[in-house]
Amino acid sequence: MDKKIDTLALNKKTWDKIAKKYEEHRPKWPEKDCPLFKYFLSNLQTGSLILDIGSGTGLPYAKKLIENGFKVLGIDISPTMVKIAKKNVPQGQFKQLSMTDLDYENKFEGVISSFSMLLLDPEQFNDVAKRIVRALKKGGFFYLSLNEPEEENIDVDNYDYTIIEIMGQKMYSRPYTEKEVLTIFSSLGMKLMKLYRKMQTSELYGTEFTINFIFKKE
Amino acid sequence: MDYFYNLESFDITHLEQYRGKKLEELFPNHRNIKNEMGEFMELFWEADDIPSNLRIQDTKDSILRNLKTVYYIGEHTEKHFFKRGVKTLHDLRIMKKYRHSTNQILTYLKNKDYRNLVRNRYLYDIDVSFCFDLEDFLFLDIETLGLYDGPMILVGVGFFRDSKFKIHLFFARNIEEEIAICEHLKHEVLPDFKCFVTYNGKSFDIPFIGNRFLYFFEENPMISQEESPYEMSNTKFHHIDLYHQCRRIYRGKFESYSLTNMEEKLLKWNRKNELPSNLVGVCYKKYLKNPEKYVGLIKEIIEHNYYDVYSMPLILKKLLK
Repeated sequence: MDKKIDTLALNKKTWDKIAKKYEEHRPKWPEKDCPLFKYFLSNLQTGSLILDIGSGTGLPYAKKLIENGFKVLGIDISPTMVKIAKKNVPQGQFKQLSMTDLDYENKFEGVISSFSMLLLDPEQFNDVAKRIVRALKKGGFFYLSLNEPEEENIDVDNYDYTIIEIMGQKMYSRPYTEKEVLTIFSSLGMKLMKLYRKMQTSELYGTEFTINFIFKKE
Repeated sequence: MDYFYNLESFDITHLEQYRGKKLEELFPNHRNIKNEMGEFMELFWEADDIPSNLRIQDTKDSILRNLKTVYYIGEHTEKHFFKRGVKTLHDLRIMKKYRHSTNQILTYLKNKDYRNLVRNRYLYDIDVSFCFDLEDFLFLDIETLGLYDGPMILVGVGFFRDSKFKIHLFFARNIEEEIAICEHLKHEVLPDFKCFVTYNGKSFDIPFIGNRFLYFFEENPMISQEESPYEMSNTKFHHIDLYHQCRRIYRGKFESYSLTNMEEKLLKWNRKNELPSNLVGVCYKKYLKNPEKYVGLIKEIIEHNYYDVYSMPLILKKLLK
């Protein structure tokens, strides 16, 4: 129980501390969109309400969603990040809220979580997955991107492995395998529509092997 | 504080199907080559769709029609001569003022003396390709772990034999095998050719290879012995760098002169799922750590290099037109 509070508090503190630096030195995203994000947009009607979990600075996803004519509600654990997001994307709605306290029912046509659920430990991940499915309308889509572990048969819950350093601050982040994610979401009645793997490098995070999912609520 | 560079990303969804396979299974057209220094893997193809009718002999005629190669003749005088019906260098021989210089160039042409010809300020590396046979060209491209002084992991060569284009890639399955590749290049490959064709090889590939030769053997087979090996990396072979020729011939036409962009614009041909070249090192390092999981990345590197070599003769053909 203690550990759970620890990781959340640690991450909140870290994001608050690095928010300004992060905004200044944000890596420039490649011009090409992820094909799954395009798929996500094309399957939703314009004007529908979308929840951005861990919206951060509001860039690039909240902004792109607004540009494509959607309504956005972004939540983030760090109040500083929320302030920055409001400045970056004035048309969007942003709220300081941890995703573990998410409490909506049948409200959103789409939910997007880009590299935010990897900041949760497995117990919280299960809990948040349930909350997300509850918040989605029937037939709604869920876009999820995570990191995969670099090597197989590795103890991913090892302290050294999960506590990473970002801009000189410590943070909890755990990679999830395809199997883990699929077992959690298929038991909640979500259908996997598409899967996309990508390798990316940046100065900030080094080399990552990312995995992206699109789920549909049946 | 400007150290955050652009995010580079690469789709690897389709590579999952190769997980657990061996490189030998993915490329049945391979053989192991052994020599004194060790062994490495060679992959070979025969690209049937590359035409062998490169018009290299035509470059001689275009030099003959280029009056500017003679001393004292510039653009204005050349135009003037064309109007008066002086069309080739042969016609200039009767004029006393130009006779000496013209005869000199005609002798060079006759003797196929490309070293003296390229000294002329109006002649470029590609203009003297008539001095070589098609089989003298060595198309070359390498993949490395870094931009300076790192190991080479893959050397791709292409050449024409019996009017067919052959592509051979020398792959180091681990870093220790690199020396065997250098040995093979030195004794088996380089002696058969007279001219390199590369894409930006003048500033990258050839100096890099020269550096590796010096590192392993303390001598560079691309340098004749009387010259100092530390200042130059290639004096023995003629070298056509397609990158410089593209920049010169299509000056101002394109935004970027990268090989992939030239393929798109000149050859109207798009590569599928292109691996960015700066990820090659990262991919190889990942493969060394976990060969079973990341063998797909190596397949992508090999195909990347294959298409680099494949498109060079097509671009050369385009430039010779």
